[in-house]
Amino acid sequence: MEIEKKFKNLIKQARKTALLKEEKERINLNLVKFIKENPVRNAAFERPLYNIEAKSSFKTIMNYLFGKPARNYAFLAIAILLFGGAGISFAAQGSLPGDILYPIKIGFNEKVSEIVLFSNEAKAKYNIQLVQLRLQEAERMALSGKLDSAKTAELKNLLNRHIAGVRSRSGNIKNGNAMNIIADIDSELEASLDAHSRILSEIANAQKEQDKTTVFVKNILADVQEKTNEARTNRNNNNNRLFNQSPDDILNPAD
Amino acid sequence: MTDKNKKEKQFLEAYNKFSDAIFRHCYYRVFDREEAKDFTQETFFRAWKYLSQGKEVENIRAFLYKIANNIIIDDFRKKKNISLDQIAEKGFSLKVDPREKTENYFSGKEILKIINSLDEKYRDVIVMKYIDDLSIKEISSILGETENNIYVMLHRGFEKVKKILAEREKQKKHGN
Repeated sequence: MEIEKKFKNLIKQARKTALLKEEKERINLNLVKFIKENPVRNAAFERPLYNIEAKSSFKTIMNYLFGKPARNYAFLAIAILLFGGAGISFAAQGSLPGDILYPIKIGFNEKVSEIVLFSNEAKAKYNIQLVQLRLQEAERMALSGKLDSAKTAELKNLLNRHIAGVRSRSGNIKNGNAMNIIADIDSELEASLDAHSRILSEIANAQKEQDKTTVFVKNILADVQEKTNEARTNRNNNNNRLFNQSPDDILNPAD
Repeated sequence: MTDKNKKEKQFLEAYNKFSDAIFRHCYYRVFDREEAKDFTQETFFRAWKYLSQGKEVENIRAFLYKIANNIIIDDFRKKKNISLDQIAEKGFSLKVDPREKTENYFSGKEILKIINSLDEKYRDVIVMKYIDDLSIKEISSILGETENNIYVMLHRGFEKVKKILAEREKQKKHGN
């Protein structure tokens, strides 16, 4: 018991170790300066428009694919109501390539949704969500055996357009924290493409060779895999420029 | 007050609340006051950098300790072990209430000697549990060890400290 008492006393004294008042104030001043130099990023688009997590796990995407969209299109519904044509526009939301209302979805609904966003960062992230949406459409069609050459080509063209949208919007980000924001956008795009390429791969593997849509699933899969590699190369190039500033370094010890 | 200003204010409040604890944690790992100050500052810089990107943290205290821990790990990988004499040369600043200078009083050098004589893995958990007053769950999360392992290390570390204290008593009695 005596030893325990001594131990408690040891600890009690050790706990008195602290910064001196002037030391604490000096660090505080440095911290205030650091905060001013690294302001909170514009939170214009902290929550994804479609309520999809951009860094989607395989499980999250499968739940989204087979679960109800819930609030996913709530914002779109509001935007559509503001601009009129509520009934048709809203009905178009669930359409897939080849459906009559699909051109309204991609040509009007999605364009309206992008117009109401202000910052380049928000628009870049919105385009990432469109990439995810196109891939989900591809997966739905692959599972239901509805892919053909025309729909495959249309989806690939739209994917190219959305990825180009991500690149051009992020290229227009010019504020003081641009490099970090662009690095984040690159990571989100790569993660989304990677997750969906795994899903498409699973779908392709599950299909029999003689299924007439297998060739189209593999066609889209190859395209997505190529885009994933491009996104990865882009991200690595940006991360090299950010070597001392990458948020990944904050939590993980250096190798 | 905007959300941005609110976030800054909350973070500076967290600094006021936890800076001494983070400093203490760093000090009892690196045994160098200047380095411990640098690590403390770096901990809060990195924490702000993470939070300023709109990310949320559930437990800011554990988050700060985790960052501090990683900074210390990086430092250990660069350096060799330093001797107790080197530590003593750097000095030890500890406010001591003269009324506490009883037979149970530990000098700064003694505290360092006792803590430094522990194996690193036991020292970490002893410092975190008893000096930093972190919970087992928090220590487990920071070190990436299971709670069972933390309990085992605490027990062994504590047994080792008791042996050291008993040895110290023996030496005092024999006038060493």
